[in-house]
Amino acid sequence: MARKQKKNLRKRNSNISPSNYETFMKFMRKGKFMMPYCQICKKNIWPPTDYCTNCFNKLDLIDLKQQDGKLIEIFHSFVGKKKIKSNQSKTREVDIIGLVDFTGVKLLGSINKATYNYFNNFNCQNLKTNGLFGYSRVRVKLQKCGILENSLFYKFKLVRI
Amino acid sequence: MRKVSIFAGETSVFRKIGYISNTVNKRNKNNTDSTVNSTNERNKTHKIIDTIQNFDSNNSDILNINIDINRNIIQLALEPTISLLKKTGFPRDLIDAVIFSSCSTEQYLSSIISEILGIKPKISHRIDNLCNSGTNAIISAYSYIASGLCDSALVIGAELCDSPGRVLTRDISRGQFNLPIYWAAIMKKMYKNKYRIDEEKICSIPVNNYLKAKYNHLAINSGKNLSLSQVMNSKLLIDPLHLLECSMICDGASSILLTANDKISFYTSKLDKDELSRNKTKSSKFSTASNLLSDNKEKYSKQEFIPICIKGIGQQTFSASLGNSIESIFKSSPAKNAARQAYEMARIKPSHIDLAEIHDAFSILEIIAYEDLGFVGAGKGGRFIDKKDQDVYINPRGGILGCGHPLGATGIAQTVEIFKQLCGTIDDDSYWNDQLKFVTNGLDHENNSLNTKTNNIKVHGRQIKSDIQRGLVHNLAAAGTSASIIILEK
Repeated sequence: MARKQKKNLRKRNSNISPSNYETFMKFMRKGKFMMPYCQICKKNIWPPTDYCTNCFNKLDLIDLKQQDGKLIEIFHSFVGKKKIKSNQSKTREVDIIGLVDFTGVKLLGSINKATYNYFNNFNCQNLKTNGLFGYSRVRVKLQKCGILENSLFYKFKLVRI
Repeated sequence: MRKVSIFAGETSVFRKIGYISNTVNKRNKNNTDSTVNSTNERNKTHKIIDTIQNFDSNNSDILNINIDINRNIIQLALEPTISLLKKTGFPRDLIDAVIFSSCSTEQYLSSIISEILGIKPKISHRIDNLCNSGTNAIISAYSYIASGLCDSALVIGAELCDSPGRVLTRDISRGQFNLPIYWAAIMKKMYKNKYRIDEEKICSIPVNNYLKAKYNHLAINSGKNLSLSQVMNSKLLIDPLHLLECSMICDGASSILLTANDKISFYTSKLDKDELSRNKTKSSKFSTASNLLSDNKEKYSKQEFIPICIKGIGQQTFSASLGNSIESIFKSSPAKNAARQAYEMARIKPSHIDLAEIHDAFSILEIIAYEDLGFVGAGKGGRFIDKKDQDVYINPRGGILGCGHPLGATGIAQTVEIFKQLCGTIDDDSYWNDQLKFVTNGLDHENNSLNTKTNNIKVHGRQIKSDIQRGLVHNLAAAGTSASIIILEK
């Protein structure tokens, strides 16, 4: 009898589909960013949930690698991990961080150095448009993402200026 | 709706551990048992302290850390609460609600503390809303009293420096850059780009706050000097944010007692006279709204009570994720909305505010707050730095930059400061009379403060001398995505 009950419970549990948040994290572990998207509102929804914040429609997860985002802000961070130089002296890694807008969803991630150097050759202020902030002409793509030491990471690369 | 007054408030001495950074410790997890502190744990903590101090060797004196590893959150919370109950002599059986504000992981704290204090409240619960937990707890207590559900409420806030509230782990839009310094750097850079404010202006914010905190014996930066060059030359954490522009997470606690306005005469008649007289032998003055300073035991009940009323409340939350509200920070921020609600409720204008406690966890937040609170127009926050004390006294206790930031206690400590300033009892602590620790020789204190000469030594009080009627508390949470404003009136 107990075995039958256990079997039923297992069967019931297997019918419960994982939430979008769990699925999102599962894909992140594999290095894939699945953006929650509402087919009715035609909008990206953040943070990953099961329902659209506007219409409560069930959300789909779509691959973000197909989309490119707008670079809002870029800056240097000097609080990264320590690395040992060739002469044994320790210095901190300099991270280049970018705030990127993927049609409504803003992510904070690192920007690769090659992209930054290329970007730095231009006069940044000339690229600023729309009055408030955002380098709207600078488009970036998600190059890499995943989970490292229990925290998520995003890495962006330049697509075009 | 019933009027609600603040009866009394107390704040403990804030103790620091380090700056808001990923180097902050993982201290003894079993905080309830203070005896369990292995040598290993101590070594680990001291190692972390060394890391913080070595992080910016030029400012090692400011980063000087003084930590009591044995402290736990209950012990911390009891410190100001017992002091409050002892000093006022408020009967414990008349406390209807106990609300505890903290981001710690300890369970059932409000009931545990009620039990220890010998209070049997009708309502007892805990509030956790990151950095504005304190003001949220006060607003909840206000609601209970105003609605008639209870007549008095004791609000206690306490936080240890290793609180999990330091980082909002659920906000996955920040990726690995989930520490508060990252969003503060974004805000500073965006503000600088938009309004072309000088770096010197922004860096003068911590200098002003340290100057005020210098004379506040409760502040972690008490008695310390900070120059503009020190701030500007401190370690650049994230361009353009410097180390000394960041507040420090610290251990701290504060408690406040709210009562219904129509019950004040009843409570003053019920005060424990024996408790009061016992305490009077220890300290000569008390910090309560009733100014119960008379040495005559019979006289005190006849003294006039000056109620400090909560006149206006505003609260607004836009989102939990930084990404969903970063665009609106300069347009229509939660703080702007909350301030508008509070002014409407109090039926006043921003120009009627005499003093304000601002949530300046980072220097740029203070400038943005001037604009959000309507003291100046958009983009003019930088100009207000020079002339603010002519119009409104900002951060008389030294702000979060000067005092430290124990998350759950900050909002309550801010409210206690405004309350005591309005009462005129800010310098009346027994500490002030017993120990002249903050002795300076003719240093200029910009705060228009009381200067008294004792034994040819100049002592700086913190009481604002001019006639002040209204004060404002500005408290933010999670990168300004949630804001609470409280207006107090004499």
